[in-house]
Amino acid sequence: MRERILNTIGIGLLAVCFLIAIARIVFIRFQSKSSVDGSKVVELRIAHWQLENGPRAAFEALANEYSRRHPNVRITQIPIPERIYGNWLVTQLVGGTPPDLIQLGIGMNDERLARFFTPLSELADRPNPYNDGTPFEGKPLRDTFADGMQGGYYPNLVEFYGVPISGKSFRMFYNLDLLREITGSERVPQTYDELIALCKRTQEYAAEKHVRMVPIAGSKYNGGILMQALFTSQTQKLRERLTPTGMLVTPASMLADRLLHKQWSLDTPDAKSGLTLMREVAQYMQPGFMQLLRDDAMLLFVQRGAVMITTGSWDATSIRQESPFRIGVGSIPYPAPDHPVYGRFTYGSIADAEGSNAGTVLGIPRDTKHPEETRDFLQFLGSVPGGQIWTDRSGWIPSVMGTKTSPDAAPFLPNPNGYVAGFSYLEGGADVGGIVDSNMHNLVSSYGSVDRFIAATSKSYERAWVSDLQRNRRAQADIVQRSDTQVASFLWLARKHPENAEAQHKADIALQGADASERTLIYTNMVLNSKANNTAP
Amino acid sequence: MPAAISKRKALYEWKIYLFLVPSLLLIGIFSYAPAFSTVYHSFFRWSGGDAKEFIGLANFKNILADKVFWNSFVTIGILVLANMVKMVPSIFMAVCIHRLKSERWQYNYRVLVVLPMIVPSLVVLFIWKFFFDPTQGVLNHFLDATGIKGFLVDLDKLFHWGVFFADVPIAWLGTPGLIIPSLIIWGFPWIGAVGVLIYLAGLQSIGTEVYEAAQLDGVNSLQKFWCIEFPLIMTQVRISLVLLVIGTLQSYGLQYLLLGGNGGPGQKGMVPGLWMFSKAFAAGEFGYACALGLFLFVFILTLTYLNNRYVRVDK
Amino acid sequence: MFPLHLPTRHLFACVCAAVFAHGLNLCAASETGATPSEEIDQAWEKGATFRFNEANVHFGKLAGKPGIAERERLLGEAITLLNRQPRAQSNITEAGAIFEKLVRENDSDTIAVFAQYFIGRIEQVFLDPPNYEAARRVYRDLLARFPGDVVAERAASHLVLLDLYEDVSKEERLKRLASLETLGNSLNTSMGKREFHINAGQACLDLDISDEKALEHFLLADKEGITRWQTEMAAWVIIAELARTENKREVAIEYYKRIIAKYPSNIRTFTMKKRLESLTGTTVNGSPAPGPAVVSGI
Repeated sequence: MRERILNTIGIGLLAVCFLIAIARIVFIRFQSKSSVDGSKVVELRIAHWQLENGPRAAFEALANEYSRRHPNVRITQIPIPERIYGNWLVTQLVGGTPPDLIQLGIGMNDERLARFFTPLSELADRPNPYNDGTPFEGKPLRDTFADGMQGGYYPNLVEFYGVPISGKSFRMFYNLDLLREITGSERVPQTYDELIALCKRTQEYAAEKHVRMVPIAGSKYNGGILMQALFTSQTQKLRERLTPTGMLVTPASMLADRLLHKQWSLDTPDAKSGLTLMREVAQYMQPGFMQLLRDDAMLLFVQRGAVMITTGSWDATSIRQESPFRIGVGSIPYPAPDHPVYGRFTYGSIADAEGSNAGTVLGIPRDTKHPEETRDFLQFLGSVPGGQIWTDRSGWIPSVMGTKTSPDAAPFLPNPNGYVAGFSYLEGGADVGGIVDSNMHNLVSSYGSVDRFIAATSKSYERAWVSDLQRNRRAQADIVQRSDTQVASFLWLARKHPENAEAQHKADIALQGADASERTLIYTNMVLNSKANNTAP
Repeated sequence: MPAAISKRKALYEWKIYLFLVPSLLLIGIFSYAPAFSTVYHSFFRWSGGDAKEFIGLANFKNILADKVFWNSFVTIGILVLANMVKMVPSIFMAVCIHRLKSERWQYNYRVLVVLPMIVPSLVVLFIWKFFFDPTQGVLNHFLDATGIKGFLVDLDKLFHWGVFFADVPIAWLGTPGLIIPSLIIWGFPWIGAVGVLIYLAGLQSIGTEVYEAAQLDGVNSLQKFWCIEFPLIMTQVRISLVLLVIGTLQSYGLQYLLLGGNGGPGQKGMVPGLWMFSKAFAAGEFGYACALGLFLFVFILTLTYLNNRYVRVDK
Repeated sequence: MFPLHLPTRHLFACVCAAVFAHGLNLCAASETGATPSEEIDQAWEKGATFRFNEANVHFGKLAGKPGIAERERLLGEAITLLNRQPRAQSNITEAGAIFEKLVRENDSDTIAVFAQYFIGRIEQVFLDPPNYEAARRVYRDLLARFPGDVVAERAASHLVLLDLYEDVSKEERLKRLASLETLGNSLNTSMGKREFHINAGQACLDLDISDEKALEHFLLADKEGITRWQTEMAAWVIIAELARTENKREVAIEYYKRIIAKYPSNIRTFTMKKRLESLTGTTVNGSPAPGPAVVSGI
């Protein structure tokens, strides 16, 4: 009897849940089919991987504002975790069921862009109607972005496929309450020495108070940002010595060439100084931090387990919302040229980022069911009013000119007033990264040292650069081969339609890109051949 | 052995076979097509996009010279041996439950053992990662609180391991020498629900007359286990062994989550599956990763064959 | 009996048809109502956007269609065949045969220029191992026979790379550069000249031939107009820096100013400002001393 009652209750519960679910589906479908005025409602879906709190709230606010202006359009967000975004997106695209607006980046390549996304050159050249009444009224969309919309431009395809709606930068975040407790003031470090002094003081404070606390919350991701930045400050002059006059940026193939010809190694004083800096800051992070994830470091920071953390501007909103304390923000304090130990290898602080360093780029898939509405919504996102809502609500850096940077976003505006960075020890590629990663404990752990790290990597580091270079050569050869067909197609169309200025322009741009790739390929070939023949190029 | 039926009889109601079509189609699409795609792509230089180039056996030749891949078999060998040892607690638990007099308590314990299965395995992995955290992890807190850490530091001084230091929290996943121990410690106390259920099923199929006869002969508890229970659940142990070897060789999720795609410091936690994954998704060498996968498949197939052929169960 | 009911069969057929139609949609020409000229242009556009397999199938489907120029179609088919995936040596051989055929049929029209150019590209880029000597021969012949043609003049920039990046002595490189410069002087199209000079200038830097020559070539390239911003920015920085070290103060100042005006937020711009300040002895607007921008208490 008892069993029967239990079974009946179980079935009853199941039936109730089922009915609620059905009712909800019916309600949502009914809701999505009609608007206030009875006309058919269009539902736009926007997929992105910005799971941080700020951008989600910003998308929500933008959707509400757009729906207020267009009552027949309803916008839904589909936030997908970064780890699975690529796979998820490819499945949607190949299956022909993509959302209407998609964040570009993860899982994307030229072929997928060309096959599945709508070219936006025509949209970029048109004035944005949502900018009417602003100083940008009548101006082409691309001229209303700080970076000229370069963040959405794909040079290999000679086409705009996206609209960038935010920028990004790296910063140090400080727990101001802890800072005051430890130092008696809220002044954040302005120089490298001040940073180290704060770290030491924090350790003393933790020992005095018997609390588990580290100065810097580290993880492979967060610690990596700080350590790489400091290393590149020490290779500024070395890069200049290794590179022909005028080339302020050194390609990986050239670095490989110089490495193979013993013009530099991790044992070179500049690089060694960079490694020393890395080890110095690593001592102030948790032991074994290289095995921790970004979330582990964030958790430690917001739980008052660390005074500072290095991360990107995109984490600002989450940190602010999750932290029960006030936050201070500052640039990474690089050693200055007059620093007694590290100054001789550096020119000074490093420029933050290029204008085209776009954070969130959105594109329209070809298979969208509502191309017109999606284009219009994208124009709204890329307008001054849309950009304003975005930066106000997300706390992220705006990409649209004329938007007033919110106080929250202001500390993250890229500071171009800095020198060009040196090169990183990781620049070779995946194999170099692997070798460095698996030996990093020799540098950063308590028992490690710079010499130990250099000794541990000495045999494999150069080999890894060669294998990465070989892989890059194959990739570059592939690009050159594909560019040949692409450029020929453009050139043919340009020749066939001499009156079409757009066709002429595309052919010209594609041709220059293809030639740049061919130069890289032939240089890489030369380096590898000279390695094989053991001769200097 | 079921009796053979004639072809005519088998095909008499041939249309019912059509009901198999959806299942076969799904198995074909989701199980066999990817497998064939792996075989196909192992002969190509392929970076995951649409561009690929046929390179014959070059990927397989490269495997022969791939030191990391071969070294990873040492790690996996240690883990297979450790996992074999980790079967013991499950057998012990199964025997304990089986010997309970009260059926009600047997049921309760079965539920208790099975209950953790509802926790997604990814969550379990994350919990363990948190256990190993050097500053906030439970393991280090426990070692500090119980004074075991001091003992470990003394042992370290005696044997010169260079992994435990007095004033530094233990970096379980950040020290090469502690990677394998951490991977072995993982899952403590190593009572697997599936294993316990499999052994229990075996134990429950042992007839009561066997126990009665043993009791008349005056056997003690230990003898009962070695002379009756263990030999009679050898079929289940063998199944577990096969599943365990295949599972350990195939798996890399644990290492990926705890140590990252590179297998941790010194690549001490690198296993063949993780190397395959890392070659595909970090280096972009999908063709080579397919060849590694194929090699692994043949290796596991051979081991399974050898196990079925030579590990016999005499009842 | 378990007969398959009609609706079930219909459903099954619909699913099959949908899958089939989706496949067709992905891989074949589906455009309707387009003129033959528009239709072949659509195939070229697919080639221009890396959809090589689709383009190749499209060109193939246009065979024998009224109004379609067969030589153009064959050219398109062969060019896209070079990148049809999976890439196979047989495709390269087949494409090469089509190019040879096109040149044999008529060796003086536009199609012949493209076809001969690709015969050279197959030797240089698509063959494994490549045959650089054969590529050089084809390129020189192309330049001699089609002066003033954009496609033919692309051969000149390829020749620069082939000749200068070969493993030879510095003297030999200088000799080769001199010979190539004569060739460069004979070029007529703006695109051809620009690419020739960029490649020559970059080779002078990469191979440490001569900074003076590098500057000369980059200036000539810039004169022709560089329209790709990444290339333009890099070229301007090289010109400004080389002019500074080669004591061409006015040129350096002009290019530093250009960079600062056109690329204000580039990572190289601050360095350019500092260089300009040191050349002119004045402070450039908007270039405060670098240092951490510190903001507290958000």
